[in-house]
Amino acid sequence: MNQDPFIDTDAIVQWSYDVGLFGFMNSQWGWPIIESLHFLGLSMLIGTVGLFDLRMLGVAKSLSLRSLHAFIPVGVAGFILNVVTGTMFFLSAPAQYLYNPAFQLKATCLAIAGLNMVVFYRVASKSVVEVGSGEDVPRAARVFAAVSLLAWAGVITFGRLLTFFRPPYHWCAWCGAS
Amino acid sequence: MMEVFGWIEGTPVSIWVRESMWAFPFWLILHAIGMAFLAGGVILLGLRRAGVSDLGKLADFVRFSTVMWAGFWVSLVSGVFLLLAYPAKGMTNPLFGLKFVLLASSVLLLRAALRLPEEQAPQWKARGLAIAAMFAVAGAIFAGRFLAYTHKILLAY
Repeated sequence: MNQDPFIDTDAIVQWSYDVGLFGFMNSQWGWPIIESLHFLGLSMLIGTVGLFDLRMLGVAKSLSLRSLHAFIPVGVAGFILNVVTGTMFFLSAPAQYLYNPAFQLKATCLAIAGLNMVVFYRVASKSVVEVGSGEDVPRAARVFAAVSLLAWAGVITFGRLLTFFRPPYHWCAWCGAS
Repeated sequence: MMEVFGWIEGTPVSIWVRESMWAFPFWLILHAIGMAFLAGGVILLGLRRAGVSDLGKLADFVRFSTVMWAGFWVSLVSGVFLLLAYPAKGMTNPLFGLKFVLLASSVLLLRAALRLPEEQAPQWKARGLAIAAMFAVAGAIFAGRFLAYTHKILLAY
């Protein structure tokens, strides 16, 4: 295993230990409580952003996009819950995540979903939200929906695979040969 | 009962899910995706019925229940395969039954909430049922996650 020249995972664990996070996460119920909240946040995201994407792809077409868009703040709240709980996992066992191929692919899917959302809100959201009952969204906008759904499916897939790629799996492209 | 669990764990399908490199992760991933759409559907419809927003017709939102039911069937079928791999682990844990009770409660509560006409006052009954449905599905998520940490019996590894 190569030494990481940039990230000191031992120092992260030490900080986590000092602030009490490590102790909480490794208490009897710490990890499963945070995992449950992590999945709850994901469900909030899929129930709002995911179903908004499906509507863009033509499911439940009688529903206007504006009425669905009103629930996007719930999806954002779910995403924030995921970021907070995900950070708690990471800070408690950084080496198990950082060099884990499944985590790296999950983070890639997350970045794709985030980038896709930013571009969608810059380019297409205004016209899409005006799409009324029974109407189709522009063909180009459907690409954003498909990419979003695939990226979130990737996040779930690689998230579930995390436990199967713990050490000795060690992916570290930035570590170099030493 | 343990003899039955032991017999199931000796069947080819149980051994396949446990020992094949990709079978267990495959069903686990499908279970997570199915559960996310099931719980997500309950959350969206529950929030709409609880009055978080009154935009759009409730009947049009209810069309998403097909997605929710698709999530239900995907998580059920995948759950059966996961259970076949470790029946003793799941069936001897009271949380397994609790997860089912909470999931069934959430769907029934939501259905009852959605059947109440939107125009009809007072709305507190429908809102209460919708909020209870969302709490039940959140409880099912907790019960499902805690299953992995609370089992007492594991026949096969």
